[in-house]
Amino acid sequence: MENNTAPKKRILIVDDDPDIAEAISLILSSKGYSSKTTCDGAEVAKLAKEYKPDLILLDLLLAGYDGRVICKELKGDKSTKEIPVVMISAHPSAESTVAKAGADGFIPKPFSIDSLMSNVEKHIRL
Amino acid sequence: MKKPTTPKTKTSSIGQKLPSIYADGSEMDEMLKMMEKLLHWAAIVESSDDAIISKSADGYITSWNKGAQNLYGYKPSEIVGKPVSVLMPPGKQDDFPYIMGQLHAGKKIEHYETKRVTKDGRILDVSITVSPIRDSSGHIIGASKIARDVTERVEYERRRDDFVSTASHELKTPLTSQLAFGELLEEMIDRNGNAEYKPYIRKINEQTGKLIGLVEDLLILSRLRGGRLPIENKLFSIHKVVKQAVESLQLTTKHDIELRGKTERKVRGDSNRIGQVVTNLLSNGIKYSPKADKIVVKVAEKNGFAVISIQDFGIGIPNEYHGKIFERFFRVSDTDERTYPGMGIGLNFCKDIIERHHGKIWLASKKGEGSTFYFSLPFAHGK
Repeated sequence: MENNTAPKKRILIVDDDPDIAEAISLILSSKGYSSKTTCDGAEVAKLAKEYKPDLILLDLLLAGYDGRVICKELKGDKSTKEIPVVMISAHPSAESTVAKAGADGFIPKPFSIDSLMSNVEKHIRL
Repeated sequence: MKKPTTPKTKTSSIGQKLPSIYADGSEMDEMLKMMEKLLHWAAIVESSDDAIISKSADGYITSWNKGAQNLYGYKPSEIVGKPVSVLMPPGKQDDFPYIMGQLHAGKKIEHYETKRVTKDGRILDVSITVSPIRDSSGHIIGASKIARDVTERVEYERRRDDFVSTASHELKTPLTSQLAFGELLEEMIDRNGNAEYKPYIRKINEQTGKLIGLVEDLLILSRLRGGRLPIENKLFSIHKVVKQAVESLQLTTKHDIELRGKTERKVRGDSNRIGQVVTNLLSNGIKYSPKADKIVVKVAEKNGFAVISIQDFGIGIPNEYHGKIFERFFRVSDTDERTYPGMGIGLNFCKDIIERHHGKIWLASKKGEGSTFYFSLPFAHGK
């Protein structure tokens, strides 16, 4: 559990639907996490290096980008490969494909707060 | 023994003049009738739009009608005597041992949908029916095959299923926001007071949950109809899969889900799909027992099978519906059940998945006394 003295864990949220990104950010904030959001797949690698998140929540189909390709790139870069990546998607057959991209977990859309948080707590870097 | 006499001339209705070799002409009449019948059947076969082919018991083409020529592009002179496998495109070569195996077992194959390749390399979707041909002593000497081009229908179904799949995906995106903000609002109300709003936001969230369930149903339907629900074939722990589904559902319900029994043995198949079956049966149990507070899940071993049961203490299902409950689109028509959302897809999905794992699914239920759904899966050998 988070306490007042420990620095907040950081989560990078990547989703091209700004409402979903905002909802996730609000949920995480209410649970004591700090977060940064982006809708742009091109920014992910740069933000991962600068923001140094403890977890990345990555949508599978971003406008113009395949989240699985981004995930592979993150896992192939020594400065970001240790960051856990949990992929999120409404696509029915996505779950079976994300593991091949190196993702650590998967959350199907739509998700409940409980399901989101149990996945975050399971995968976040301690 | 009859004695041949001077041949008389007989004219058959098909315009052929044939000599009658017997005095009374009776056997000649029989022969003519038989020939007429054969020619009549031959004319039907030849004029059929469906491809009608015969093949020998070892799979070589022995006859080829005009419909087959129109469908596949080969003339009889080009194809008769060739193995039937020349019509099977790469990826469908397994059809040959399958069809021959059925044939030698004396079984008919009806409306088997597969792909075939034409002379000019086009791939067609066809529906084929293959029936064994026997000689007078009952030995299988070949087979007749009727093939129908269903390419247009299959393409239409593919587009329709893709549409449903895309539409349900598109519907899930706004539903994700709706659910997340709805639950956030409920939590905020818990933290900040304003308790009088809570019942309303809870109703909104419940309805969102129902909408999500309906969208899931549509998606499952499109994949079941398309026959595109892939099934893995790996060893997995059935107990672990049931336990995970129970834990996951427990997060979303006020019902207490009790898991009893255990098995260490593994089954073979697709753990995700079996997990979906358990989730589906658990969700039904919760949905149809709104006044109860418990669901009991049991894992047991019986005669080489894992037997899983999911028991609720809800409204139950009248006996007369037990035979139909697993049929697609079937919904219990009692007023009680009609008030629950659903499209009659979930249980059909469960049946499809369990049967594809060589298992069985059944139920025990009485109206007003709750339901227990069971399914069995064979244990993998040697484990």
